[in-house]
Amino acid sequence: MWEIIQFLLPPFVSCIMMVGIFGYLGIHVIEREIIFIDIALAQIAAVGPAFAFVIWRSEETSGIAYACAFGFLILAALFYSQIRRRVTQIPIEAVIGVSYAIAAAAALFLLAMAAGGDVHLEHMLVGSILWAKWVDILVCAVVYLGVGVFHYLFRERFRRISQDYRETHGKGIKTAGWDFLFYLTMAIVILLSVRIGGVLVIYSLLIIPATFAAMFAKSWGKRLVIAWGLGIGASLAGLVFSYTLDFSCGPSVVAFLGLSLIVAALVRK
Amino acid sequence: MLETLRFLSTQIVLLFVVTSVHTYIGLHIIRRGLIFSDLSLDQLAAFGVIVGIGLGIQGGTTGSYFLSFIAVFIGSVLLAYVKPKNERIPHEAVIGIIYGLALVASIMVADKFSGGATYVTQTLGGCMLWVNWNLVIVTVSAYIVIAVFLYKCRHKFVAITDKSEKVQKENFWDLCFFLCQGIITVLIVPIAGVLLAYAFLMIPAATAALFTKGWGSGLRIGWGFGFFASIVGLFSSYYLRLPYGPTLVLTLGLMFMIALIIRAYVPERKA
Repeated sequence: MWEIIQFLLPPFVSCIMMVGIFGYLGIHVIEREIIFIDIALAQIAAVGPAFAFVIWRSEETSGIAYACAFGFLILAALFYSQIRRRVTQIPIEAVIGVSYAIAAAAALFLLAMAAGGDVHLEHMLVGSILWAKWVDILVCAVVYLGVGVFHYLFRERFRRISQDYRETHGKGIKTAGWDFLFYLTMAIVILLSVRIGGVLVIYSLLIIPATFAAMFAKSWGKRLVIAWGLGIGASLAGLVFSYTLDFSCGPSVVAFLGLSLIVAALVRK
Repeated sequence: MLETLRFLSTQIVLLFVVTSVHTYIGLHIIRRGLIFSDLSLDQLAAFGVIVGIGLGIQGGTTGSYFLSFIAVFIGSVLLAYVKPKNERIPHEAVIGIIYGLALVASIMVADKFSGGATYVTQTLGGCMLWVNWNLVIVTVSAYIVIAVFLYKCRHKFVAITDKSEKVQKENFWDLCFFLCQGIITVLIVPIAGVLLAYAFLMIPAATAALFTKGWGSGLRIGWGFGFFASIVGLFSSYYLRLPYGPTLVLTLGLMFMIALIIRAYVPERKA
């Protein structure tokens, strides 16, 4: 028993942390209808290492690769916040969706140009939550906490911009700067978490608990509590399931999140 | 020379057919804001192939296509009939979740047979099979049938997207629509890969939607833009020896970015 706990403790702690931050950000994502954001930002971040490899032949985990990824993410955050303010003809989700396609093509293009550039794109998808090291977890914890505190301090402003963007914008409240900060904090959190959780787990933790919570509650506080509760429960169940039946960790957690959502949808009918 | 001409003409025919149908479906998708529907159907088609491989059915065979169709059919039913009544939950979120779960199902099935992970990556990136005339003929004929069907029933589809009038049996028509999208997905993904198919659906339509609200004008802009961009992409990839799929997507994408910037900084003319 003690062995199982020791083995599953690091992944469980990482899950809890991710549930904490993504459960909250997910409510924003659902309100804003930007379901694509996580996959798009993760894909844009992945252009960084490919770019660094082609120009400087630097390793996937080197500082330069991270700096490039971060640079692209800042550009993306700037781009989304400007376009959202200026272009009203198509939903911002469509712009995010197209930027995903461009980023994916750019990464493939760069890797095809540089022979031998075997940056592990597929590893990014599933992550390696089971092998999360305590150092990585600690770094994530500090950054999540920072982003969390920042969002907590300015929670009203972020909430209002997500809830009724047009109205806030119309009232002359400067939305573009706050919008930029929203996308940037989101990008930072995703950049760090992808290495541990993988895109798929993060995406699911972002969308599923928030959707689940929106079924049962209206106020943000209640939704947050429900989302966190579901996230923690599903992580625990998923990890134990994957350990006993030998399935991949991340996908198992996602499967439990999905199952609870389906059950909830059937019950609510 | 003749070889080059033959190769390029096959490509151009295929690009022309793909652009025309995808732009129309894409316009609906963009105007409804259901951007994820394409990736969801793609992933379900891939799930069908992966289940087939698990059962010993090779990819690219009739059996494998059949399993893909079944998965896509189930997906279309889900897309058309699972609509959240709760206004706090956007339809796009439901479709996004279907995508996530289809991906998880693919990974978990692939977990259980050796080399499964490779198939997941392959179906994700799409493996660019070399285009041959047989495949082109099948694909083109299926596309034409679908185009005729979409044209015949255009009033229903447009009324649902524009919400201009109440359509009887709306879910049934949605099912027909997503099924068309699903069928072209199953056909085009083995040829072009997920990314290129998705780009053709989204980018010309999104560009058109930036500049017009009409359907006829939207199609003309989308077709003109899509065809021009893909021909530029095709020729630059051929003569500069650049990777085919990514070059095409990047050409489409960069032109979309230019259009977006023009739209953002040049004020719209008031009619």
